[in-house]
Amino acid sequence: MKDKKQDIDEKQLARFLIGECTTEEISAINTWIKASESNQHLLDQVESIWLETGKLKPAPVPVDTKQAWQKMSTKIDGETAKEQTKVIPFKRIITSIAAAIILAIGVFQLFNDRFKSITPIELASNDQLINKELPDGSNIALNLNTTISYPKRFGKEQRSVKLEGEAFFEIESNPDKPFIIQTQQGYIQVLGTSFNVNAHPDKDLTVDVATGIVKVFTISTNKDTIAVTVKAGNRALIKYGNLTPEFIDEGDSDAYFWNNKSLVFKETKLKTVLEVLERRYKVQIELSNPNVGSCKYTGQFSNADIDSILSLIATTFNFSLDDSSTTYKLIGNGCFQN
Amino acid sequence: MEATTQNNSFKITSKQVFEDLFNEHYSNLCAYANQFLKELEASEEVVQEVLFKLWTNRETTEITTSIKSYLFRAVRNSCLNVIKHINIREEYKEHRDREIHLEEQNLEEQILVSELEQKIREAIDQLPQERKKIFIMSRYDGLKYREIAEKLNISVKTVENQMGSALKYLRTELADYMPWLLLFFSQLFKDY
Repeated sequence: MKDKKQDIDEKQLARFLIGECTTEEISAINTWIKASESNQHLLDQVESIWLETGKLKPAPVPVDTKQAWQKMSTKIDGETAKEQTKVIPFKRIITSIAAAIILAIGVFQLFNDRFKSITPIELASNDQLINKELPDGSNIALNLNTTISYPKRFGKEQRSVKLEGEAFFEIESNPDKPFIIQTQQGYIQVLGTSFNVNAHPDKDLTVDVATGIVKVFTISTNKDTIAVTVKAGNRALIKYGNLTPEFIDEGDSDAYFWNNKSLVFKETKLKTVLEVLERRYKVQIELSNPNVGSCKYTGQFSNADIDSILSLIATTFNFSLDDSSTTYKLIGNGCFQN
Repeated sequence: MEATTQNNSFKITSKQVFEDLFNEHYSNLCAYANQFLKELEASEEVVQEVLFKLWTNRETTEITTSIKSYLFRAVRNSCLNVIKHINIREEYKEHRDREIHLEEQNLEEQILVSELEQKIREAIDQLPQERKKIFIMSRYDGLKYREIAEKLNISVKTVENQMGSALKYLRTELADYMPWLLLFFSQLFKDY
C-alpha cells in the first residue's frame, strides 16, 4: 500500500485549511495526524500561521516593492542629474561672447607664428578610441582614424591644436587664453565649452556644441574672416570646398554618440528622440498615442542603456513603459512634465 | 512584544538610507492607503508621491516623531485629499466618511504594531510577486483556488503549488516566533 505520509505537506495542509479537500482527502489527513506527534505538530504550526496571517489589518496588498523601488531610484537619479546640470553662469557667457568678437586676423598671425616655433606632440587614434588630457587640463576624445597635434606646453596668448578627423573636446575655461583648433577646412575658437568637431580631410566640417559657445570661422585669401557662432544644441557646417561656415539651428542629438554614448536633446520632439534611440540602440519603440510625438523633451544622456533612458522619459511625462515584448511601448497622453 | 522603535530627529542623508526606508515601509503604506482608496494603483501612486516628496525635501525635513508615524500621517492626508477630489455619489460618500473615521482611529494602531505582525507582513512582502498575489487573493480576498486560477489565467495545480510554497516560506521565516504562535493558538482551544 502507498505510504500516504509523504503526500501530506504544506500544499495539502493548505487545501485542508481552506476547505478545498475532498472527503477522502480529509480522512487521509486525519489518519496522518493521528499517526505521529510530529504530524500533529506540523499541522499546528501551519494552522497557527494561517490564523495569525488572517488577523492583519489592513490586509497586505500585492505590491512589488522591488519594482517600485526601481522606478523610484530612476526618478531620483533624474532629479539628481537635473540638479547637477546647472545653467552656464551668466558671467562666463558674457566673457565668451566678448572674446568671440576678437578679429581673426590678429589671431591668425599669432597662430601661425606660435605654431611654427613649438615642436608639437602628435597623437593618432587609428582603430581605437583615445582619451587624452591636454597640458591645460582640457580633455579630448578621439574617434577612429583621427590625428591631433598639440604642443608640450601651450603658448602665453592662446592654446592651439591641429585636428584631422573627429574628436570631442571638453575645454577648460580660460578667458585669457582662447583655445583654437585648426582643421583643413577652417578654425574653431572657444573659451570653455564642450563640443564635437568632425573634420576629416576632404570632407565637410561639422561642429556640434554640447555646452557653451563656439565660434567657427574661415579666413579668405584677402585675410577677411567669415564666422558663425554656435551654442548648445546647434551645429556649424563648412561644406568641403566652401569658404562660408553655415549655422544649423538643430544639430543632431546623437552627433557624438561615439563618445560615451552621448545624447543631447534640447526641446527635441519626442518623435525625433525615439527615432534617434531606435537608430542608435537598434530597438523598436511605439507610442500608444501618436500625438505625444510632438511633446518637447530636454535632457542629456551619457553611457546610458536604453532601459534607463526610456524609464526616465516615461517618468518625465508620467507615461508608463511596457517592455514586456520585443517592442518598447510608451503609454500616455499628455505633454505635462514632472 | 516590543513596539517598533521610535526615531528621534531623523534626516535622510543618502540614497541608501532612503532605499532602506522605502523597502521597510512601502508595502505597509500601500496597504494602509488602500483602506481609504480601495484601489491598488492609486494607493501605490499616493505612497510613491509621499516618499518622493520626502526625498526631494530631505535637506529641509527633520523628523522628530517616528518615521513611521510621519509617513502614515502623510499618506492619510494625501488619501483624504484624493477622496475630496473624487466625484462620488452621495450615498457612497456617506459610507466613505464613516470609514475614514474608523481609519483615523486605526492610525495609532497602525503605527504601534507588534514585532510579530511586522515580521509576518515582511515575510508576505518578500514572497515572489505571483506567489504573493495568490496568497493574498486566497487569504484576504477569500477566493477559491478555481477562482484564483481563472483570474490569473493559470492552472489550479499552480495555485496549489504556490500556496504550499507560500506557507512553507512563512513557516521558515516565522520559525523563531513559533513558540508564541503556538501559545496563542493553544489559548484558542482552551475553552473547548
